[in-house]
Amino acid sequence: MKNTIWIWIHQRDGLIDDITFGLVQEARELAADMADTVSIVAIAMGIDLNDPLDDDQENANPLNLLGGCGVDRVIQFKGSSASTYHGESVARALSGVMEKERPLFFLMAHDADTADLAPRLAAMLQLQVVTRAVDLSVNDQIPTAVRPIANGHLFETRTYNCRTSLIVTLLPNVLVSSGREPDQERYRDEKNNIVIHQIDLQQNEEQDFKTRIISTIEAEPENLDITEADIILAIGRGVGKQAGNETALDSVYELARLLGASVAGTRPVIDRGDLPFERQIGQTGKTVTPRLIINCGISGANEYTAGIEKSKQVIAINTDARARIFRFASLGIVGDFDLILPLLIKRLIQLKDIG
Amino acid sequence: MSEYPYLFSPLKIGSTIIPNRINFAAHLTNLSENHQISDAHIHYYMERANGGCGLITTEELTVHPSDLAYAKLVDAFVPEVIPGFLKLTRAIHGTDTKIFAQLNHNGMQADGKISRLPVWGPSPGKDPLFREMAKAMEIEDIRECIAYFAKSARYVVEGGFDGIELQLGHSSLIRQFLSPASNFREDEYGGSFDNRLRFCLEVIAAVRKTIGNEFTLGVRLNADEMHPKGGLTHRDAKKVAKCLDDAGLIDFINISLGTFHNLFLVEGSMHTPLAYTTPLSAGIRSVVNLPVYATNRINDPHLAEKILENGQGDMVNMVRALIADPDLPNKARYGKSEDIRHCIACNQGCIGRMGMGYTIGCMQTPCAGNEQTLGKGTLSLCDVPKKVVIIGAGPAGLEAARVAALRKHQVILFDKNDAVGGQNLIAAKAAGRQEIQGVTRWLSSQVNKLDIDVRLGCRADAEMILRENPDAIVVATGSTPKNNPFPGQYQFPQVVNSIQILTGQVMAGPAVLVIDLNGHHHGTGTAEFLANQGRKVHMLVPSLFPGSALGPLQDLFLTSQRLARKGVTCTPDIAVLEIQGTLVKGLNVYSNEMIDFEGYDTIVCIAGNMADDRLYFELKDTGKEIYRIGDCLAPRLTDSAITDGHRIGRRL
Repeated sequence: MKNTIWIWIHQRDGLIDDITFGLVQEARELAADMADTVSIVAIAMGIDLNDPLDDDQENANPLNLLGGCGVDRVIQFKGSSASTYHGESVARALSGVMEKERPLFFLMAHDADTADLAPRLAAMLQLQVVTRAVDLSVNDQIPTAVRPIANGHLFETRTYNCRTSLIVTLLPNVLVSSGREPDQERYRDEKNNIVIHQIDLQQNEEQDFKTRIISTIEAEPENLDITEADIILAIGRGVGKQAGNETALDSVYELARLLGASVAGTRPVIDRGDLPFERQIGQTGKTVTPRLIINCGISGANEYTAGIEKSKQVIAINTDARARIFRFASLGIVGDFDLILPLLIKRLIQLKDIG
Repeated sequence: MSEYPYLFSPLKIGSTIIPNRINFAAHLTNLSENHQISDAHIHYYMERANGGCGLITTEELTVHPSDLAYAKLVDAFVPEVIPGFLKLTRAIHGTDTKIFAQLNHNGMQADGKISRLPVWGPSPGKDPLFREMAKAMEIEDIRECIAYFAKSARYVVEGGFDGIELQLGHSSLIRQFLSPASNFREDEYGGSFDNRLRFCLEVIAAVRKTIGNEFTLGVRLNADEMHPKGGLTHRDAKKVAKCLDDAGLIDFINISLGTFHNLFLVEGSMHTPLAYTTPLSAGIRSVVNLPVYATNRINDPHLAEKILENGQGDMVNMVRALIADPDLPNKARYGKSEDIRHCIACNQGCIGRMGMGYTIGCMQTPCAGNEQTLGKGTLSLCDVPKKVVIIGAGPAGLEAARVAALRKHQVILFDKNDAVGGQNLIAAKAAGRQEIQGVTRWLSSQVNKLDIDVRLGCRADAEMILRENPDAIVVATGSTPKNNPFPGQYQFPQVVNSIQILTGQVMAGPAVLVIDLNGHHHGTGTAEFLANQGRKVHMLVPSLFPGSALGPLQDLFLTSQRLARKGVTCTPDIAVLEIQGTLVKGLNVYSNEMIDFEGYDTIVCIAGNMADDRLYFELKDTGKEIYRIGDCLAPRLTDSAITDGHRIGRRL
């Protein structure tokens, strides 16, 4: 059988998470390290997507996108529950296929799910596993992984034998940097070449398992560490000038809850004691990489913007139309945040009510 | 676990184990006496060692009599220097801190005004700052210079230092040999890359031979000259670094950038980004296996930690950060980061003084450079606690209140405004000057921690003050811009001062004339503030160019560049004789020609302040112990205000 490298498809809101493309990139680099031809197989679990054979461009299956990046084949497990990850059932489903295909590697980005899945699968099949790797390569046919130990003070390089599969979780921050968009040209040419295997998942009864998921407790977004937050509501010196700090802060938290945002601030806000130091963005605080950041009453001094450079969407609200922050904003609003805030909250509540 | 796991981890450099990653890097202090290490030096360095930095690199020690670029350079090439060295190193070794000596020859970046000798360079040429033609070194000169480097290195070893750093940075003969912008020799020391590198390698080899293999030796390499025409690029610097690593004779690479063509990059002011050189240290680090230092405007432990974490350096240079707060390392280490007095890169006390030949200092604290009298442990509790009323919470009043309260006086601090800071808050509104507010940020954070009765929004008059029945009164009521500074008939709001513009009290018309007699940031900062608002700005100055006081602060280049880019124009050499309405009559001081400036909507006058001393004279004859400090004594800059406040805080 042809050698394969498996990658785990990470998803977010029903779409393929960008980090998956980082995994594909990593798989391609591994394939290049090895002389033999290796094909890349993506594992889709719990993705309830449209019919992969639907030709309509609008509704094109996101799985096809992977073809444009170099994935040769997708194994899609149908009928799995998308909502919650259940380690035992996923591992059981995968183990059968894995034993049959014997991939060289199975790559995943390290998150809460894969931190459970990788060792579980390895134990089930008596395979090798390495977690939280920062680098992976094959030197003279010997798989080599680098991972941080001792709280990141040291790195160790480990080598593995190549007789059995190696399951690897890679730290997400080493995967995002490639920034490769799927190659649309190639996708058009090759979308028919990507082979999608569909496997119907056996429905197991709950009592077959040793573990049961009772409930999932999510971190309150406004309390989430700002370096991990997807959406950030950042406040600066300008917030609270009109309404007074305490009233303004209450409203800020209310807005954050409505947006699912984590609250952060600039140094003057931290100095004022309105937020703890852990919430400071900038060169003397934290560097953040959210999908969306809303900067309120922040002029945008260099020391601050250095901390938000890698954010995807930047919104700025400031009274001064000439404020430096607008240079970085994809959407700029000139106005007093203290006045806009109540309106915004009202509107969001209305929208939520409509559903 | 520490908040800064990397910053406070030890590092082995050569044979030396440095307890943490903070290096108080080499910089001139002008503290020497008779070209030797002075007691002031020892107190200055000890203050930083006691503050917890891992490594101190001394100021440049010159290796040859032909190099006397600055009057206070320490001569490392005479044996008489050794006792001073020993006194210094023995003191430092009483702490955990290690100390390296920096050896340098400034080459042609000097003149002979002090030494009365010609300056030496690889080729005839002029440095843009000193503008004196150098003597091209003959082969014998090169050999002598190498021998002197080795001789000086021997004295450093005998002087008890832990290591040597050879200066190949922004001001050094070795770099002049490396750079195609200053080396035009046609012999084996010039031309090809290998030839330009020869002098450097020979110096390193000679020093290594003298000090033996066990002694730590490294270089401070120029990571990019950023020379307008060629010069040593970052790519060249990487190549040099690689060659030095391959030669196997050195243990570390510290970096710097720029030359005297672009000194504003060497000593970046608050208009440059924090940690602006880290990409260069990261670049050098990517090609060598030696420890590399990151440098320039790293003023905060979180920032330093991030640089180490990102792998942009193995050590972090902090100079101005530790001049402003010698205790930065210990404060960071023991969870008191919020007490750090951050360097704001105003360059007024350190580079501004040092470059003019005065002893080193700091705008934010008079203790810097005066450690023996004002340093740690010199503040004593008061004999009899007094009730002290301080009026005015600008930098002077805040510092007086802070020092007095530390000495356990009972302090009441009045200010008529709703926030402390006084004129410092207004200064921060000028274009690009936000960071100057760090002065208020630190002082108010300390005042808030102390037992001080702060009464804001309270305009204290004599009666109110006397009702408190104070034992001592400190008047720090500041100053206001001169009213009608020029003769003539004119009025508000056509003719205004810079404070009225910066605070938004007046919106200037489309065309603005800024008259600046001050030459400091007041004028250029206001002009740029107006240009940022889309105003057409013209400046009138009595000097040769706007910003005449900014040169020593390394702010002149970037300020001139920004003003030019924003369309601000200027007529220099003008004495304003009178203003009539919005017509300004000026006299060219060289040609004695009268020139009328008209067609402006708003005239902004920056013509100095008047002390607001009314309250002082009301209280003077009440028989109370009374002082006045800061601008209400005489309107000056922030450093004088803080020094006044500190002095009185100690005297009370």
